[in-house]
Amino acid sequence: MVLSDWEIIQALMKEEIIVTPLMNAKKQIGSSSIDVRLGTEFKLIRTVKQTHFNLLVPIEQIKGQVREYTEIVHVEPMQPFILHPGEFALGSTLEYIVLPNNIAGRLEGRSTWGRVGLQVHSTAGLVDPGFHGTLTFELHNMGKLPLPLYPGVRVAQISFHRCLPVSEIYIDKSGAKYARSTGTKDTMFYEDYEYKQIQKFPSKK
Amino acid sequence: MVNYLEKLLCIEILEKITRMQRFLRLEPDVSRRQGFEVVNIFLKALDAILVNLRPIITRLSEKVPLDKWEKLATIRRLSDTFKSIDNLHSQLQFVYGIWVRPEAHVFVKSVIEFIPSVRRPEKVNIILSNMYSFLETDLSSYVEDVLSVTDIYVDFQNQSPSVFLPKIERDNPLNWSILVHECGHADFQGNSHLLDQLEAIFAQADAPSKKILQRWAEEIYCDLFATQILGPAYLASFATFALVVAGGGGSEISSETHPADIVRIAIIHEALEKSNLKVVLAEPRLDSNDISSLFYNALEERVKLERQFIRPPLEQPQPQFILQDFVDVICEQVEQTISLSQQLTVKDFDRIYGLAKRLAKGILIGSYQNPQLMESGKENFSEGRIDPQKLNEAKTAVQESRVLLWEIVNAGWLHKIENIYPRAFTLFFDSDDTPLEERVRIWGEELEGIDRLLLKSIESSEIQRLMEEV
Repeated sequence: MVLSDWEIIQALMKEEIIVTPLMNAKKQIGSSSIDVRLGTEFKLIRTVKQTHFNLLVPIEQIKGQVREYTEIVHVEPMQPFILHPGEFALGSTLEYIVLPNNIAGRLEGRSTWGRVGLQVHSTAGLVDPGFHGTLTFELHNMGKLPLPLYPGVRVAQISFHRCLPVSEIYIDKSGAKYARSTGTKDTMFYEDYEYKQIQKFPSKK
Repeated sequence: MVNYLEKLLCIEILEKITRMQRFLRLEPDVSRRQGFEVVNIFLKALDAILVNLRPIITRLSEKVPLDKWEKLATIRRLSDTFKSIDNLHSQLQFVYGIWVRPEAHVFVKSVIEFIPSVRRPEKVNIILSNMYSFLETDLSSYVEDVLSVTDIYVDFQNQSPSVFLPKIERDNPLNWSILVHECGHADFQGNSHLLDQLEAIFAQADAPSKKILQRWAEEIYCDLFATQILGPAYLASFATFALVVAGGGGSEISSETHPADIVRIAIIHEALEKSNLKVVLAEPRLDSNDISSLFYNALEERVKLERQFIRPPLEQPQPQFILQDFVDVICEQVEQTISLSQQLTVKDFDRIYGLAKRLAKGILIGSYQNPQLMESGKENFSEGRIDPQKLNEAKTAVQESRVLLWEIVNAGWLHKIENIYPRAFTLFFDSDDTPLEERVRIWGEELEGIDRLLLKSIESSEIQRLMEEV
């Protein structure tokens, strides 16, 4: 069941949910969501140094490839990050979000920005109950003009969905790769067990 | 806790090691070239330094107090270890490294806002330095000195005030507090009223004394400037810096440019006591129940210990005036520059405890809810529902107000003393058989976590300020 505005306010008052900084509650709390803002750290895709990901090498080398794949761009407050048409970048919310073990979140774009072609996530909008941290945006400019993105601008919204308490909360899970993040994190697919299994087959190397 | 001072000093030195490891791993080539030799040599050198600490950690892990000779030997060995780190730091010129963090610019910009507009510099540059020291200089005249040329300053005319930040403190906002002192230099030179007053006080002094006194006055001005802006956090940063940097009685030695550290800390401590600006600790440490007394006592204990064995050199500058003659004049000027009532009040200090608790939970502190507003907001609900007319009031109740820079830094120090130091003490002095290198790695991750929280908090507080201005 999605939480309505007054249920969100109650949850914030009880500190069941924490969304911080909540700079302008009147503007940010909508009928069934809270608008979230763009942070200052971006990771831009850099393709000039690699032809492909080689996943069958030792994990330290895969980590190196992942670091090579993105370039950190840290913009100062009131300075724009320009996302050009067709470009993809990672970003993160300015807000740090804490969810209890019986509320899941769902990240969605705001129509205001969707209308000029900004997509804030490609595929991963679900936030597990018990999550702590900033949320990562998978920013994509689907429009025809470059978009100047300023830190602090409300580009997305998060809705909250009450469920029965989960048996294992996100931050306690051994595979919780993105918990307690305070910035934009690269992919950590190499931590998934599947890759560990794949690497066990030497004939594929 | 037994041997608190020695443990504290040891932890601070271990922190420098982890910070240098982190800085070295920022080298852009490290990820690409596994065997990148320059960085590996530095990392190996840090391992060698770590070996020096092993016997100290083993001894401090025992629950038996050190006797006075052991104390001296421990402190001396820790000082020597820091000197090695300092020497290695000066060789960081060989590492390409990375530029200053944007949050550091936000930090310094917020500080210079306190300087009255008539003498406020447009900006203060921040330069990552190979030397482990914090400095302020006008960059154009500095470069002229280095190159022995004379045509650079002309183009800039005092327009390039710059502060030097040691490379390994690049990510450490708690120690950026010392940059506030450095920004004070940019203010001092423009304070003609104070300069005139000091000129009158020093009129009777002979020329060499006058030169020394003017420099000392400037340093004390900058100390009080930083104290007025940051409160106890400045004393904490400066005292820990003095604790690790000063060896062989160094904290008692004055130079022609600086009064002795212990004198400066005493003046800062007195100013904080007078203003009743205290961040109280949950339980006393080193017979102190607040942050500034803790670090004042730590430095004094170290000085007393070394005084038993070392005599300060006789050739120290001996100006004709005593400090108190001009400290009061400087205090008055600093108070006029930065209105105490507007910035630090005892009432505001209450928020710091809540902020430190939030940091302990790993949550950002760039903004903070008002507990009174939250309570009154709950009254808008009846039987779990809200009257639609009162929705906006309820929204206002959950809105967060901006946390100021000095609150973030003080909460950070409080969290460090209450939670991070104790965890480090357990990790290094009560630990099992975990290898020392692994413990240093864990300690480094812990520090990185708190750095990131504080950095992001500083930035989000600044964004909120700018958004509110709009």
